[in-house]
Amino acid sequence: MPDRVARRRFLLALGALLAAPVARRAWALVARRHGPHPTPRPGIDASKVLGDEHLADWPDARPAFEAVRQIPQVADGIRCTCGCADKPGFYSLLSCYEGEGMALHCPICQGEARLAYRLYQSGKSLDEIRAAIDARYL
Amino acid sequence: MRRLAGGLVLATLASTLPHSVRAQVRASERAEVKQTVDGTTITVNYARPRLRGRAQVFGTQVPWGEIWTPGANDATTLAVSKDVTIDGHAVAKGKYSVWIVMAPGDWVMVLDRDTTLFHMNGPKERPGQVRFTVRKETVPATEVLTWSFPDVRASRARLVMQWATTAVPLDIAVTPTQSLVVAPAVGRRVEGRYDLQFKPPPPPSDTSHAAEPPMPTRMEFTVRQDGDRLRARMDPPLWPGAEELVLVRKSDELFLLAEADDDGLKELWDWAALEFAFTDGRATGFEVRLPNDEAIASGKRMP
Repeated sequence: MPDRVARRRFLLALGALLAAPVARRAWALVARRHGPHPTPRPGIDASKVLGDEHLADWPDARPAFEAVRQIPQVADGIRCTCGCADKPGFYSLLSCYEGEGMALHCPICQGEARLAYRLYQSGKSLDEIRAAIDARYL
Repeated sequence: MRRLAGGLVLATLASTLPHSVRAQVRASERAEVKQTVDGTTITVNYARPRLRGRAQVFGTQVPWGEIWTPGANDATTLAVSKDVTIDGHAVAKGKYSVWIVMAPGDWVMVLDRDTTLFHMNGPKERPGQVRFTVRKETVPATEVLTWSFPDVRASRARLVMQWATTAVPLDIAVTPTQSLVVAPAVGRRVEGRYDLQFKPPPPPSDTSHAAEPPMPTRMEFTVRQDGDRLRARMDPPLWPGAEELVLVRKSDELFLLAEADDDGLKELWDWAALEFAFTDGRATGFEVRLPNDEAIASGKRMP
């Protein structure tokens, strides 16, 4: 069926953009996406965010890591909706960029950070950013 | 004492036998069929009796007046992960044993909360049961009792129990997670024609297949309110068959594209979101963004 072939090719191309090998797994983790957004921890900073030396194999993730480094206090007030939020040691979207670096290969973690940064730059409040992320990813 | 010791030895031996040795061949083997519909999982677990040369079983092997579990041995169970309706009857999230009150005329399906019942111990009528008359259809003979999902749509599915020449179809409707309704006041802000341009996709990494026609990267994208739906048209479409779409509202500025028909949603394109920009309450354009927030296309309102 030609339409399916064309569709498949288009989606495969998108998959390449997304570094898709794990994207589906991330999308599938929908059961625990919902929950309250965390309160940013006082004095939180980006000191534990993975550095560029960890991003060599993940060039597509670089803009998101850059974004989080700019707004750690905002990222710490956002519940990640990809399903990682209930994992031990995870507190907020900021946690996705620390430790094992879930965000290295998760397009949702990356998208939430990049969207938060765009909205933060345009003057949106944390609550407005949270609402936009919920609208997009829930 | 020796008998007790021998028994213990046998019990110990039995417990260490490989599973394949202990496995039991059953006349009606157990089976399970599962279907997800818009996030709701429907599971039927049942045993599968066979006709074994009998032309008919209903009214004979399964006598009229009996409350019969459509399966064998341990009662057939139906589990739904969220609230659903079956043939229009509300069925709350949970697990039920499944029964049919057999009769020459109408058959009444019974869903009972006790899922531990054996086929000979059908439940009496009691509060908490879901009871409704089911349809019967005459079909080509089926040797082995079969539960299946022959039809699955965006927010409903047909579950069918079939044995011998009788089929019982059950229409299960789930609660849609996405609404296609867009208020005209919201839709009017984005209605119009847009010049939509996609970034060229990267070349395919697998070049072993024959080259396919290039995908269109520029198209006219028209949005119009149609009743309570916001429709979109791509000309030319990204791929044949994707000319007519609907916009699913996520917020007043954010929409997802979807394929839909009069029956409802067919497929949600959740890999791409349309983020509109407004001036004086009217959309001036939009960007198409992937889940990682990368913009892959932009649309500008046409005069």
